[in-house]
Amino acid sequence: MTIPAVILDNVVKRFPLTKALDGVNLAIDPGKVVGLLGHNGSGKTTMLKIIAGLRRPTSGRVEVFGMAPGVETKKRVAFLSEVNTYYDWMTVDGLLNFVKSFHPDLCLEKAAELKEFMKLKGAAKIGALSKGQQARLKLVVGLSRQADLMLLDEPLAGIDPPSRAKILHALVGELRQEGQTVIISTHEVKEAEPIFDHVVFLREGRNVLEGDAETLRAETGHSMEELFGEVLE
Amino acid sequence: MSKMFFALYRKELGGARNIFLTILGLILGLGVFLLTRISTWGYWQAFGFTFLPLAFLVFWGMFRAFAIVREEWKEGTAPFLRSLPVSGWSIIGTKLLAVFTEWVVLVLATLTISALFYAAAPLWGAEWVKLAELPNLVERIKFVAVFGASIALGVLLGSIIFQLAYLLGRTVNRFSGLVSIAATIGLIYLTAKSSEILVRWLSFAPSINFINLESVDIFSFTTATFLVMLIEFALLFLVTGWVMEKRVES
Repeated sequence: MTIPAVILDNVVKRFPLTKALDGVNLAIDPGKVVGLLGHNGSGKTTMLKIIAGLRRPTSGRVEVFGMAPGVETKKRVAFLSEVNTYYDWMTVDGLLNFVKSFHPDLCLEKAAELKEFMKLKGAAKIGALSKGQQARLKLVVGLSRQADLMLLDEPLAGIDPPSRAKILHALVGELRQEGQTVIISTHEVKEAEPIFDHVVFLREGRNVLEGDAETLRAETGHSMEELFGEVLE
Repeated sequence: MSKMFFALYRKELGGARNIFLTILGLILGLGVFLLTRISTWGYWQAFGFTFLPLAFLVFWGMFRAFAIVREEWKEGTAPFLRSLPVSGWSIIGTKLLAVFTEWVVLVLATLTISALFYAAAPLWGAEWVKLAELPNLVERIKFVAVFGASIALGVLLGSIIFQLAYLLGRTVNRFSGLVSIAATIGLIYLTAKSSEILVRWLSFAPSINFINLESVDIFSFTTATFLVMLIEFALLFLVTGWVMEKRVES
């Protein structure tokens, strides 16, 4: 039996004034590209952070490759935050070498190709990069790794529209490792729709609709973008 | 594991480069300033002031240990740091080690300036004794070593208290600043109280005696104080690493 890449069992996450996740149940099979769709504040980032081991659920069970999130799961997970979380004083190459010290699965040759593809200079200081360049850098770091699970929080935020489609196709095309599970949170549904195998619609911390992207399209006769409007509005 | 630890340690040193160079520059600047003051203040007064940075560095070391943890949240880098496959103890350990390295280098820089001043005393016609000719030199060196080690351990103990207090503040979603302040006061009180009890328990620990040191015949230093600080530091380090690993969020 294959161990699911991620299991969330009745996961609740409370903050003082709000409930970010309200009893989420989810099982994601390895090798899938999953779209986590919802408006701002629907709980997407909280869910990804819980899977990455950066936040703890208030209640419920979380498993990543059969283990509770911790040091062991972090070896297999690449979490790319929506905002820049890298050190401003580091250079692009310095960051890649730093990450390589922790993740031997990071391939520096692939990183060099990606830097070229993303038009980033190795000697550039991260703090001096534009928002768009910082967004590209996140993808360089994430895609250079052979991580079993990639968690991408709004990967297209800050990237100019003409580049988005190119990057998305690269994400699931030639750059993606075989068998890698990718969870992408986004509200840019139209652009990302073609790459999803599986989708989860989140509203107010609950997964209101979930399923195989192709099956959902066939059953409802709607595109993901239309479903997004229908289910979440 | 050691590769990861070393990478984190280097990262901490790299991130502290600007502040470290600024403080080092200030220490060197003070040395140069004091050189220009010898003619007006007199040699021995200027020499005495060369030790001034040591008092500042004791507090700076502890503040730096607090700031190096706080910056991760303030700069928004905590999610990246905590997504790395390392334990909370490694994160705290490398931060402490980096701060301690900076502190030791700055203390040594200060003492080097003092030593240069002392060596140059004859240039200003000050009454001067060669170090090798100082009476009870061995006792003096022993005293400085024990005193220095106690101060260093005190700085480490203060550092871990401030780090733990900050992280305890991070475990709550609201009023984290207030929680940190309350935790600092509480931890200092607890450490002081437990020190009193532990020193009594460890009263059998041997003392180190310094003979004929300046005006006193015998000056005793109980090693129990040293042991207590070590025990407290070890316990607080374990708790701080655990809080970083299991309790804080980013």
